[in-house]
Amino acid sequence: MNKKKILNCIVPLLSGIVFAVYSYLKLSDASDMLYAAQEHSLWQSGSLFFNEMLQSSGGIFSWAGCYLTQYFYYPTLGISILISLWILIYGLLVWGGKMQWWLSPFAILLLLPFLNAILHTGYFIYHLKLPNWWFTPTLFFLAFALLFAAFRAVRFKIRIAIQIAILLVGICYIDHWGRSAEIPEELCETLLPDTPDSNYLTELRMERAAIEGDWDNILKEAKHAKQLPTRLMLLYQNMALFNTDRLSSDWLNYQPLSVLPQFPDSLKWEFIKGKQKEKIIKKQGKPMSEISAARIYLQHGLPQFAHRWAMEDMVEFAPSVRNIRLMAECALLSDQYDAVRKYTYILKNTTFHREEAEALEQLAAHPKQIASNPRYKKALILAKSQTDMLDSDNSLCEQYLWNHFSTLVNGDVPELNQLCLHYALLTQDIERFWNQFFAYAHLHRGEEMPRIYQEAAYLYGTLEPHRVDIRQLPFDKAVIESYNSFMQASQTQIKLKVKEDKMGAALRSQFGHTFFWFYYFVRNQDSY
Amino acid sequence: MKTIYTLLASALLLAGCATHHPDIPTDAVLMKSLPQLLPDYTGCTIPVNIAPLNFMIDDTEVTHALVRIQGRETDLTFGGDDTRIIFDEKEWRQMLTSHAGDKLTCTLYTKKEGQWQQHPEFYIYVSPDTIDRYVSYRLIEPSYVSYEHLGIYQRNLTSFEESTILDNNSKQHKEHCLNCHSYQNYHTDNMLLHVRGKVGGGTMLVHNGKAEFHTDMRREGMMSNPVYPAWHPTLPLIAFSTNKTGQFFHLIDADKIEVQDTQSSLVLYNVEKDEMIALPSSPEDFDTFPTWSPDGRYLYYTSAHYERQDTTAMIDREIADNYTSLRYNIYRRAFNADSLCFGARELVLDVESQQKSATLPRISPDGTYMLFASGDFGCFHIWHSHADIWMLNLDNGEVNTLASVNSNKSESYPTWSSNGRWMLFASRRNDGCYSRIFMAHVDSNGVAGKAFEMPQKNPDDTRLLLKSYNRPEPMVEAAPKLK
Repeated sequence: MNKKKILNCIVPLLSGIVFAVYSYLKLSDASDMLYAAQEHSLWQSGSLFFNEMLQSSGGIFSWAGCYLTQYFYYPTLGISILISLWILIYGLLVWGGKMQWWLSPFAILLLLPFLNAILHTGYFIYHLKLPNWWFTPTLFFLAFALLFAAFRAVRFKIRIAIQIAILLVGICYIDHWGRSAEIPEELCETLLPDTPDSNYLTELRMERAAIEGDWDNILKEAKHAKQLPTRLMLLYQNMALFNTDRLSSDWLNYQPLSVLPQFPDSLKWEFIKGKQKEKIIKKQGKPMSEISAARIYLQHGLPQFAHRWAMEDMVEFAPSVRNIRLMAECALLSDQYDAVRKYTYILKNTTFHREEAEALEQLAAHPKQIASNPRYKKALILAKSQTDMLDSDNSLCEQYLWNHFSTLVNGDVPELNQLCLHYALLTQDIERFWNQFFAYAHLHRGEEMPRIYQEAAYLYGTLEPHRVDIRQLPFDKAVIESYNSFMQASQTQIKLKVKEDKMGAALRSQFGHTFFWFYYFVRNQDSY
Repeated sequence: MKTIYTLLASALLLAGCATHHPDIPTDAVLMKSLPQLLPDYTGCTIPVNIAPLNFMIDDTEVTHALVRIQGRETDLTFGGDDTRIIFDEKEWRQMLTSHAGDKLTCTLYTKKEGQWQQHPEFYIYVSPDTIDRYVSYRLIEPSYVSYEHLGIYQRNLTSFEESTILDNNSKQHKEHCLNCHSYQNYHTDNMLLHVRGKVGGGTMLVHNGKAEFHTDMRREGMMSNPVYPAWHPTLPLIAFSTNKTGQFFHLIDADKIEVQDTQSSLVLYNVEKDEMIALPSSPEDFDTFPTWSPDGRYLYYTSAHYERQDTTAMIDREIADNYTSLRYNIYRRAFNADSLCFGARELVLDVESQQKSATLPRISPDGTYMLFASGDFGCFHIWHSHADIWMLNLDNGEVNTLASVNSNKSESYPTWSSNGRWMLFASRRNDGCYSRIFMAHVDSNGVAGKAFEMPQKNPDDTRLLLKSYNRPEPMVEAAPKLK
């Protein structure tokens, strides 16, 4: 075999292997996102779904894309399938184009945008209107690569002309499809690889843990976060503390400061004219209500608010495992067992979510078991102990929770009261705190008052003695001493003319676990 | 040899095309009850021209099902391949035609753990009364604020054919909401539907077969664009409501949402003169949901009376805080077709005193009966599980609560077929969330039969579809596809 032939075999082979290994490593780093990808997608067996897919252009590819996206349920499997398709495309291009060995590695460049677009998806996962986005462009390109290779037998000049034409048409079609699917420009224009932001991946893992009722895992994630958490991470963290009965004892042993998510610029644009896009950079990006409000509301025992956001998500971004499951859970907590069965029937029609659906059906068939299920135990108590009313969150999830729970005084149900007291502390509103505090004290008469509540009571009683006379309250000596130390240390910092933001950092190590520090140095946290 | 192969192939092909009628199991164990059927067609009276009532067994342990149908002139079996019973359309049509006015006896067999079971017989009554060939509806998710892909579609009730009248997949209507499709007297040469959106909204009006898009239907003094329409049965006039509508969400209540008007009134639109006439109204009376008597001499509508308790508060918040006290009665005004004037309002039905609220009245083509949606309060009954379809006898004032028609979930949007023998309505009885079209026979004495769901080619679709069938409107002919 001559040297050229050997090179024409080995070089493309090696190029393919290098690309496959590189892609595998990069995609494995993003496996949490890929798991979430199948959550944000839905495939159904049967003619109804198939016919619905066929109604849009490229429907058969969309259908196949949805089917293959399911395999990210096992990220390694899904990654392997995706990379196999890319290698197949590469092989078809090399073989079909009869590429010389020195040219063949450059054909990999045609595949890099697919890899990079997936790696760059990040928060766009909440914005994509096509749940099959992960596989469909690859499948389109595979179809064109097959056509491209099919012309191998044709005469050289004609072949090259047709192949170039097919490639151009293919690229134009993918571009047109991408635009009609409102794929953000950023996802189509990247050449450089990237790893998704760590907070974004942590949010995904926390959501998955919340779905599974694995509250300890959420707290583990919170402890090991590489950077300041987002507000959503804090909400998950506090829900985990609540569900593990550690909200009053451990809340301030976790990070209370937060940052806004690193939304890409595209998600901060506001289209203010109907036909012409005008871009304004907003401070926030995607509101939390469009990211995870449904899950958060569900865990707060507000199933109808949760249902609303799951439904809006389904309407705007297509049905997905995620929003179907949420609607089933909302129905479960609302005693709407017929509705549970509707949604579980759909989940059973997927490849990997049958077992989960059957578990939900079991709960619907035996509702008494819901109260002992770690996923729903506390949420059910909250749902059953709140009074119905008509309200609206104006698309501001966290602000609504703060206002709703901090003002809802309940002196009967310990779990609800504890949550309300927690939100009163978060709002740093003194009047709201006292209302909740005395309800708590009434419910827990004779029991030890958690340190954080004592700290808040002592601080607020000192700041506004006209509201409540705290002289008769039995504070722990340690709380009073801690307060005095904190005030002394603060005065020292003031005398040294240390600025407020630096003062907080300086006092953090000694007092960061106290409500005193929280009250003075955790301020103006931006929600979204 | 070639001829033999050709003949063999043809025979195989023909065998494949012939309808399969499975054998009746001989070893079936007798059971005392029926399994859950989806949809449930047992004991229903059906139109002679309806499409096949394909159904399936809603039991995960059942692996196969077949049904034997016996009548005066038929004895056939269907199904047997899985848990679905799918009827051959041609055989179904023949069966119904030959049994018009008669009943069909159905014996169901199901296979569970390898053992066939025979269930008690049930009956389907084939009425000689036909149903209108078409029904149109909007297909939309039962969402709250957002919408994406939706459209107005029509279904041929004698087959499974569905076609689009208008949807928002096109460039022209992208991001538009389409709603309130309505027809003059079941015909489609005069029809309309609203197209709403931030940009480019209006009303698509078809008059004498010619479609025009009107962007200027809101006139000075009107509180909104025209909303709920009602074509005069014979004249080129449309009564509309105008409404200020808001919505709030329940925190806990499974009814999820409360949609309420804070103000509403009625207007009359002259199609040929493009003129809008306001009906007499007052701010405390919320007039809405107009409908005409079949002779066009009366305009019926519903109205609630609400007096502000605190004018400093936002009215929508005030009404939301008192939402259970807002109730609608049914009224009418006489109409003079020459002067286009309306008489004084007359109370037709007081349900408020019974702690009920009536909406969406529709009068039968013979003028004898009125269907309406009745709930405990409010006007948007599709979101009220306590809403049912009631029937008022306009001759003697008796109200029939239609026990055979209703369920413990929401029923709303009642309407009549053109011959007055069938009622159609939207019901969420399957799961409490998604509306499906149901129909029921009404005889000349106003006695209603059991309601049954509009048949689907694949009975599974009713459970898998994540959209609601909204506002069923029957027509005697197909509507044109609009652009």
